[in-house]
Amino acid sequence: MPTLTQLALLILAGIVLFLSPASVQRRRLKLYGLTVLVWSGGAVLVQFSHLLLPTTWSGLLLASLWAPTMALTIEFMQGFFAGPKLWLRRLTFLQCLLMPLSLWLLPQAARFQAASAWAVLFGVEGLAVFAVLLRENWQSRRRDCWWALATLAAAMLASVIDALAAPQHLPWTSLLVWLAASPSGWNTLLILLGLRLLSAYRREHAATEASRFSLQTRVLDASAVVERNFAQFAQIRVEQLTDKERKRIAADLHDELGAKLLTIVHTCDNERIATLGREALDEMRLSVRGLSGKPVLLGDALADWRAETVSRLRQCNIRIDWSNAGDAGDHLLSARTYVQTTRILREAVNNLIRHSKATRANISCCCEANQFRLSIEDNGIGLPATEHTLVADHGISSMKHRAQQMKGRCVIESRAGSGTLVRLEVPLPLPLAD
Amino acid sequence: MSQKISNILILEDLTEIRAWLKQLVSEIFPGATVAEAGRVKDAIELTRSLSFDLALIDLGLPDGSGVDVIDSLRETKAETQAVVVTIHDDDEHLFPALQAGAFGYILKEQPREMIVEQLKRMNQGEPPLSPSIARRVLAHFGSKRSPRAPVLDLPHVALTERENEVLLRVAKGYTLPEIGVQLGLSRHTIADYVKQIYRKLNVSSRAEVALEAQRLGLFKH
Repeated sequence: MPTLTQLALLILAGIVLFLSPASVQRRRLKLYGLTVLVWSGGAVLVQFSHLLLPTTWSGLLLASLWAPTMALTIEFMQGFFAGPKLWLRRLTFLQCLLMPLSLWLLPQAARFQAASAWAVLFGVEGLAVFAVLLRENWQSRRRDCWWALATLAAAMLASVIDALAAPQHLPWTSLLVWLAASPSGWNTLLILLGLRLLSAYRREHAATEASRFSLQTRVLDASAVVERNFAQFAQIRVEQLTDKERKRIAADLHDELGAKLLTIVHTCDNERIATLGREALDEMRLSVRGLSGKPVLLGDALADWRAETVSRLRQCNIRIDWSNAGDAGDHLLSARTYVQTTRILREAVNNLIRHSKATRANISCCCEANQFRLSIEDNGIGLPATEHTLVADHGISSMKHRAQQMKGRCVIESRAGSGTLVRLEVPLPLPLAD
Repeated sequence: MSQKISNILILEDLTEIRAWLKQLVSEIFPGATVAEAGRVKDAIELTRSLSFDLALIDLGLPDGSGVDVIDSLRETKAETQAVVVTIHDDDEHLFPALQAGAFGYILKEQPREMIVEQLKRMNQGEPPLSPSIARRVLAHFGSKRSPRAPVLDLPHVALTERENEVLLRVAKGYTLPEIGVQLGLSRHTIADYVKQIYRKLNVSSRAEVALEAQRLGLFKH
């Protein structure tokens, strides 16, 4: 009957063989599985064959199991060499054929001797290969070598214990044979080896899983980055195209409209028409700027406004005081905001020059974190009270409307005879953090 | 201080404007001969054969940009005062003209009196300088802190302290008379600084172009 150990080995072999194909470790596992199968499975089969075959046959078969077991074991050990030695493979294969043949051909009496001799030969072969293996790997994989030696020692110990527990004392020669051929020794060896292989396989499997998981995460990250970049790229492309289109419109406006307006300005006799033409040209330039212009630093915008306003007022002999408060910082005005504020400022200054009869003007700018304020004050005659004149001549409603468009406010305070105060508040977008 | 103007060139493609400009300069500079051109080609030909004291150059012409004429003037007749007369008031258009060596600029649609005033001023040696132009000039010279500049065999073109100060103040929005008061200098001195700034801008721009050409030439070998 099959012993418990043999059954356990069979189960182990089964598990190992069913583990799936492919890597170096798995080849080892397969070889191992085959070895165990041959060893234990073979033994079990033979034991069952007792019932069918004569004793000599079963004895022969049992002994013959040695050769393939040894061949497979040596093949397993070959897996640890840098390169498999073909001659060894051929030798062991040959032995598989020779051993049963020799036993069969020899007469009954010599069979036991021959079998023992073969057993010792196999043992020596196995030990020799093992020794070479140890020597090769001693420097690089010392821990593994120690473990292998320990396994071998354990196996031999099992054999010795078995031998000592035998019902009769065996002679020395037989002891050798016993050591080489003892089932418990081999079983111990195979079980220990199997456990170690399985644990190594488990570790490798876990590592593979971990690397596969991290690869998956990396792929997800990479595709997220690609998507983000694509979205950004598409956005930039849209902006570029819009920009190009705007510039084209701006250039067309400039060339066609500008030339015609200029001709009007210089060839008409009527001063009012000429002035209107000039204002139209000014407007056109501003519109083009608003369409195609880039954002402007608040500090630069204030400088532009100051230069223009101060020189205009000076020319009309109006004393001008311009003061700045607060830090313009890195605030950016969009081209549109710049243009609209310029229009409001120009309108206010136009009124000052044409209608206020003022001799002095105070302009102050105040930059705060989220808005900037402009106030224009003069000592002129103030605004007339009638609503009608207000709208028609002074463009006040357009100033208010423009301020509203920028989400700001334009307030005009005045009383007839005591000057005018124009206050403009423009909200600023938060400066972009780079 | 003012230069005697006896030969004037007007480059403008719109006929009415050209006639108007001719009438204007004849008034300011009586007795001067005025040559007219409507295309860049014609203007360059004229500059080769005749010598002018003043040239009024439009920028947008059917067969090219007035900047080419200014370039050619600078090379052949450097004493000609080239003044840009244009619709554009932004530094994008004006800066290249100034780099090429223009003396100043006038906006076309301004009232007659203003243009007369400005031309007279320029003739007296007071070119205009707006904040946006000043910013561009500062940026141009700011980037010149590169090691490339000293390689050339030209006089070192960097702004003096004073010139830098003037530029900075203009960039902040102060007018030239105000700056004169702030720095305790006369109008003429300030005007001289501005002329120097424009000259240096022209020289350093040309040097940059020459260096680039040289490098490309070397590259081609």
